Order: sequence, then structure tokens, then C-alpha cells
Amino acid sequence: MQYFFTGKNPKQTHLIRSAGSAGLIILALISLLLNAPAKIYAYPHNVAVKHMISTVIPPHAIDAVAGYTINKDTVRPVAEEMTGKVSKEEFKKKALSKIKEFQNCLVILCDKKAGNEAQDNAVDQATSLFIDGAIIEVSSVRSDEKKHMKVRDFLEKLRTLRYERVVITFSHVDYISNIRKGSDGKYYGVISFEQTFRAFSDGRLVYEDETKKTTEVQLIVYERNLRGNAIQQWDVMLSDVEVLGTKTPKQ
Amino acid sequence: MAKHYVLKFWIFISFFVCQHTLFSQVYSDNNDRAKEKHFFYEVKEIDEFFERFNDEPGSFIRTVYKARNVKFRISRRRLIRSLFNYENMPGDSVMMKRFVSDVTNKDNPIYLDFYGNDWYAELSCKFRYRSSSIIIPIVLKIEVTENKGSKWMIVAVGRSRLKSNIAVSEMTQSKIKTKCLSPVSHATNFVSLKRAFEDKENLSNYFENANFKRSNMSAFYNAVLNREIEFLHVIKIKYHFLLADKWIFTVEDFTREALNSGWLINHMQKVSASGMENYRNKLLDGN
Repeated sequence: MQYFFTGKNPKQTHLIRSAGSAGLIILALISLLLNAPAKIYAYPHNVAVKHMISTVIPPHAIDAVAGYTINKDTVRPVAEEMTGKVSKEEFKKKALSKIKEFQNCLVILCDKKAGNEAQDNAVDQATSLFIDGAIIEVSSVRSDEKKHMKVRDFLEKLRTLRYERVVITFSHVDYISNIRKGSDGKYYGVISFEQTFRAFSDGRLVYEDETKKTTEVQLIVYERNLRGNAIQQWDVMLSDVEVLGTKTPKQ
Repeated sequence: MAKHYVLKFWIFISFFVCQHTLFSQVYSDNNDRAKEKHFFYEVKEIDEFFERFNDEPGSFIRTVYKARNVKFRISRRRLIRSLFNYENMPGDSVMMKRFVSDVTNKDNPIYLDFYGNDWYAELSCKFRYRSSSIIIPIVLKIEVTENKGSKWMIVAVGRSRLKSNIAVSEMTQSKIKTKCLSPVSHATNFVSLKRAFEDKENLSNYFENANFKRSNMSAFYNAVLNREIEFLHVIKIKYHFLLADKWIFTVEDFTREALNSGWLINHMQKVSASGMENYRNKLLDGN
């Protein structure tokens, strides 16, 4: 895995990879003869070992927040504790859980068997995750055209897709940026993840695209009345989203 | 001897019968892994560019290694080399070697500061203007505020064919002082500019007052305020870094399938202190 950081020209690394592949084909032949294909990995040996390590950990169990330490570029402007009580780790965990909730809503919206009521609820639930006025920008790396939509409009458009079956898969790991305090006193962060969208009709794959979604998240502090006492609580809300098509859609 | 040839023949046939199944398995397995690997190595946001450049202990790439129990053996030197666009600046480039050696100097290492004065975002923005579209370059920078917060501010406006009909010599006072472009607006392609440019009551919050009469800012401000132009979207973002009075480099997004992708250094030059000042002035003058 680390060979990428050697800084060599990609062509050189390609040659190394090709040599590795040739070796792998020989290994594959030997392995076939030994009737043990399951032990073969498609990457060079040093990479394969690390992939074996990664398969031991369920992908969704990997918490990008874990082990997070203070980063150099956040030290100066951001106070150690946010609004007195919330730690950066708590903020990040909450933000990740909101993203997962949003992803679950997307899956329901694309499930044709879900029914109207479930989809109505999914639209409401997904919309409630966002701040008022949040904008979703939809674009593609192959085009200069970009569309701006309100969250509810984006979700309604998604549910009206007429495919027999839609499968959405998300990257197993999300990128979470440093938390930054805004001049308005709110705390902001960014979460990026990748999504693959596959649509089927008559049992055949008829459309497929890959997108990178980047979402701004905000820490919101509010007061809740509990038995006559005003208690200060906090939550994380999703804000603007950039949806970038990264691969030519297959039609 | 004949038996030996028969055995070889069957080995050959069984390899061809099995290879299709084997390689299709390897391919689909590879595809998911390749995507995941790409996600790990792509410099997804400019924030991640800072993380890698500074080799921060909490960087995404370090977290990924840690989660997989893989020892992180990548030096800062290697991390920085991975931040160059190899298609434009090959790994053996003399300039790159000098730069990497300079910023990783043991006695005097150089780091990037997100809240510092040495980097700018240059945006190519598309506006609707007189029933057609117009592209206006806008330069923004991170400004740290008294409450130890920060925000993106417009510090310069580039040349375009925009001609504002109304002349205003200074910006109007805003109603809500706290309204701002969040310090993470860059990650969502500055889509928040749409809200900002529609917020006429607080428009002055988004412009650097000290630079109002510099570049083409006042004409642009007036055009936005008086609805002569309508913001459509940001076409492209380019970051300018002015480092340690000697290095200038620009970072752009290269979204592609290669591992060397995302926000990468595309151009670099070594300059004198006066060359650096000229570059900054040119940027802030909107040229």
C-alpha cells in the first residue's frame, strides 16, 4: 500500500505492477494446481497482506474518528471545548451518525417496494437532518453544468425514479475534516463519502453512476424545557452538499 | 513418457477451464478494493492537503492505517511528494526535489497554516448578466475574527466585461453582523456564495472592506447589490500558496481514477521576496 508514496512516476509504478501481475499469474497457475484459488490476491504480495489485515475488520466498524488527535491547523482559532461541553470527538461521531441516517433515507427512497408512507417519512426525516436553506449542488467532472436544488426537491426527484430496482452502495470509510469555528460562533466540519448508484429494469442493469458527496455539517446548540428547567443541548445538522459525478454513467 | 504428456495436457486444460472463474472473481474483488484504495489516497479536500503536507498526527491517511493495524512508515517527505500532480510535475523534477528538501529541513521545517495570510482561493464564477452568462474571477481568503473563529472573505475581483451602471463608493452597513461564509465553504464548491449574494441586507459581510476600492470589487459589489448580475455557480477553484517568502505554488483538483488524484500541486516557482510581493499584489489587484 505504501508504494504509492514513493513519489515515483506512475508509469514506473505501472511497470512494477505489471511485473507483479505476471508473478501473480504464475502463482495463480500453481495455486490452481494445488486447488486453492481462494488464497490468491490480485495485488502484489505486500499489498495483499495489508488487504488481508483489512478484511479482518468489518469495514463499517472502522471509525475514522477513533484515535483522532488535535491537528496543527486547528490549534489556534478553535477552543478546546466547543460551547463548554462538546468534545471534537463527540461532534464527529454525531456528524457521522447523521450521514448514516441520511444514507438510510436515500436507500428507502430508491426502494420501489418501500411504499408511499415509508417514502414520505424518509423524505421528511432526511429533510429534518438539514438546516433551513441548505443547497445541494449536482455536477459532473465531464461537464461545466451545475444544478442547485433545495434538499426536499432533490429527495422528491430521487423517489420518482422509475426503475424496477435501485441499489445504492456507500464507501466504507468517510473522510471527516477538522472542526473549524466560524466567525458566527458556530462550529463547522466537512464529511466526504462515495456512492455507487445502480438501477435495474427487467432484471438488467440499465444505469450506473458513481458520485462523491461532500457535506458541510454544523453544530447547533438549543434549549429544551425539561420539567420546567431549560436545559442546553446540542445537535449536528447537515448543510450544503456537493454531489460530484466522478465516472461516466453507464446507460 | 506418454503419461507425462497426458498429465501436462490435463493440467493445461484445467487451467483454461478454471481461469475464467478465477479471474472474474479477482476482478470484482479488485474493483471494490481498488475503489476503496482510491478513496484512501485521493486528496479529497483541500483540508486533507493541509493534513498531508503538515503530516498531522490525526490525518485521514494515518487514521486509515491505524484502523487496519498497519504501521505508518511514510515520511513527511514522501507525503509531500505525493501531493504533486505527476502528470504535470514528474517525481524526478528538480524543482520538486528542492522544494521538498526545503520544507522538510530538520532545522527549519515549513508548514502550511490554514488560518495564515499566505494562501488564497481563486474562483472562476459564472453569473447571468444581460441575458447571457459572464465569467468573473473572485479571490477569497480565510480571515480570523476576534471570537477566535474564521470565515472566507472576498478580497479581490478579477477583470471581466462587467460594467456596473450604479456607482457606490462604500459598502452599506449589514443588519446581521454575524452572517458569514463558513470556514469550510470551500469543500462544497463555495455553493454558499449563492446564499451570500442573495443576502442583499448583509452583503457587505462577505467583502473585505480594506480592499473595496482595490481591483474591481466596488463595481462587482454594486452589480450584485443592484441585481445586475445573478450568481449561477463556481466553475473552477484554484488555490494559491505563497510560502516562506520563496515558494509559490498553485493547487487544483484532478478528479481521476489514478491514485495520484484530488487536490494536487500543479504549478510551482521559486521567487525572491519582491517577486512574492508582486505576485500577491497582482492577485489582489485582480489581474
